[in-house]
Amino acid sequence: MTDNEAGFDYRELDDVIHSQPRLGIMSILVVIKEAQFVYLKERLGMTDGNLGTHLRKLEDSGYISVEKSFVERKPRTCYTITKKGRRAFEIYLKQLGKLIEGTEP
Amino acid sequence: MKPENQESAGSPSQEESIIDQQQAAQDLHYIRQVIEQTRWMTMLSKSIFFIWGIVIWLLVFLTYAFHLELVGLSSPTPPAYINWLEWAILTFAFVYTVVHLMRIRRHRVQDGGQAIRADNRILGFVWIGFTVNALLLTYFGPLILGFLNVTGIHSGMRFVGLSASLAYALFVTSGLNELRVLKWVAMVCWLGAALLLFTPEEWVLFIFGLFVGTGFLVTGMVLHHQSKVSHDG
Repeated sequence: MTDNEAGFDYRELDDVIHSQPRLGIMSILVVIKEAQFVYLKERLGMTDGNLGTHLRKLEDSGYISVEKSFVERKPRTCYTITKKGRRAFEIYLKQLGKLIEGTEP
Repeated sequence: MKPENQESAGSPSQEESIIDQQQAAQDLHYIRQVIEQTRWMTMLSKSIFFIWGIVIWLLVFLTYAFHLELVGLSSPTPPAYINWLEWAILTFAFVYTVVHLMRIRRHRVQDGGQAIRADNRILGFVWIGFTVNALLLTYFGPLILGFLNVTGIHSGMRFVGLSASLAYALFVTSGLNELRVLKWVAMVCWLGAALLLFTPEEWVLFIFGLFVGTGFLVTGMVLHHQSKVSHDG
């Protein structure tokens, strides 16, 4: 069975989520309420610049929201997944599942 | 993963489909790993390990303070409220654990794929198995032996079984969630189980608390430190 017969083309996956760093960010944020920049950086083993770029792309698409504040005079940046982002992630997972099921005889 | 600028063009060939399906399986595996690690590191880890570490030490303390006959030493009858206190502590820890596990389930992505559900099912069975072992070794076993008037069995053997069961559950959990620290706690529990074989009966509970209770507390502290990273940014 091909993808088309399974009713889904792999290339139709959401481009915003479909990159390993962004997938990692989304996977963390669907589990916890909020994550700080440093936490995401350590968990995903990324540089500041690289992580910042991917976070901005997710933020621009409305998948995550950011809140900046100061705690004890230190800047604190918190990221949270939005309803739109959670929905997009669920659709993405469904599409992956559908694609994998297509491999079964 | 798909390259950033790849555009969709036409229908995929069968060869492309097979590659895509393999890629999809890898993607799903990656998502599963990140979700499982996050869930265990943030929600379960911080509190449940602390709670059970403290509970084990409290119960060891209460036993040595009020139930010396249980460890082979003579003692006056403990006040009635001590028994209630011990049950209240155990009930609190049990309810706390169940509530936390339910919270984790609620946060779970509903369509997280078969791999995530399979891992959760395995973990569920492993920990249910441990709970059955624990109840058999600490409550029903002694109850049945008492009912049958069976004596002369080294009570330390129960705690050897309990430590070894706990070590096994932690070891499997460590493998499924790739949390290295749990593997070390499992080793400590196994070491404790081995030492208990040679421990005089009156010191069995103390050694059990030392290895298992402290093992839980140390795990809680290590994982707390890991998750604290998110508050220092």
